[in-house]
Amino acid sequence: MILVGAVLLLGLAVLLHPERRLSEALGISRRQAIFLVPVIIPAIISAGFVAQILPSEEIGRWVGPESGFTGAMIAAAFGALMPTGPMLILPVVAALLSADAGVAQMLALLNAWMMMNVQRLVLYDIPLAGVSLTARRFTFGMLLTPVAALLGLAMVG
Amino acid sequence: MTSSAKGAPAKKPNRGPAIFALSLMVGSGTLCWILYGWDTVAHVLTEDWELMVNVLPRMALGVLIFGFLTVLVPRDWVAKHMGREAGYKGLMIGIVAGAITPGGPWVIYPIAAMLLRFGAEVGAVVAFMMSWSVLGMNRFLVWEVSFLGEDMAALRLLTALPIPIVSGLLVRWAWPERQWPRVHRD
Repeated sequence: MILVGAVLLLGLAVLLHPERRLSEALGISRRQAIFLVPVIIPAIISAGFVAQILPSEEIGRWVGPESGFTGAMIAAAFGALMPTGPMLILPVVAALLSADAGVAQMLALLNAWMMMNVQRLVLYDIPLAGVSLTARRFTFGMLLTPVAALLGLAMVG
Repeated sequence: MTSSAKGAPAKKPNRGPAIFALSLMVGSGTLCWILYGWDTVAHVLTEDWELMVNVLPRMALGVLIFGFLTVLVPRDWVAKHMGREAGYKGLMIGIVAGAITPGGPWVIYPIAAMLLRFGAEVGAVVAFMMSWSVLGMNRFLVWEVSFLGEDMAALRLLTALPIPIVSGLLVRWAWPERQWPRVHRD
């Protein structure tokens, strides 16, 4: 719904803009779509397969509340390797939490998934944002993942 | 597929990502078939179908948002307020914009590339991308709160709060772009 609102508002803004034409914006959108469709569809299908192959339950045992910083780093590595897309990872995290995974460890998993997800890196970061931005974002994502994990451990106690 | 960009020299479409995605699909699908058999593959494909029905309309909206933003965002404004001279203000603009811009990576990453071309400083752009990654309000409200509950989701947000600021500052300090303003190459 937020997306629909944003499209309507921005579309109206383009229509009302004295120097910009709607056809110009739609042309940019069309070229973007032609580029994206053959990437997104196989990406979504692969995401399902990857989620199936990853041994979620076994990983759950490694990241209990007692596992501390090591467990948080294991969880972070898992988060980095998980398929991208909130509709895949959040159900898995919810399942792991109810299977006694630690809260701080799951926070580390989510933050790592957001900062340094490998699938998103190859499918979206590099092709859409370019190597220069991706290299910087990923490097500092890797450096800050342990920092966020320590913060989580400190907060959960 | 031919691009009908008027005026601009015909840009060669970049097929690399599509080829990679296709190979990943075939590879992971084959592995899944070997490990679990056809029934599981069929089951995963049904789930994928639901996911696709969910994602593709969002993506269409995202592509429209990207097109509109590209023509609406004034280059001069970006260069002035997110450029090298803008200092902390550029970082803050990047962080706020990243947190509130709705849409998936197909909206955010092209916008990031566009900001860089328009003359934004690379630290501010990285802060923008990081902010979208860890503070994105759309995902937070729609996905995290509903799956994790308010407490856990809020805790997650708290642990992530310093990340965009710190990474933007680190990029600015340790890994700035040598050449600026950036030459528009494509």
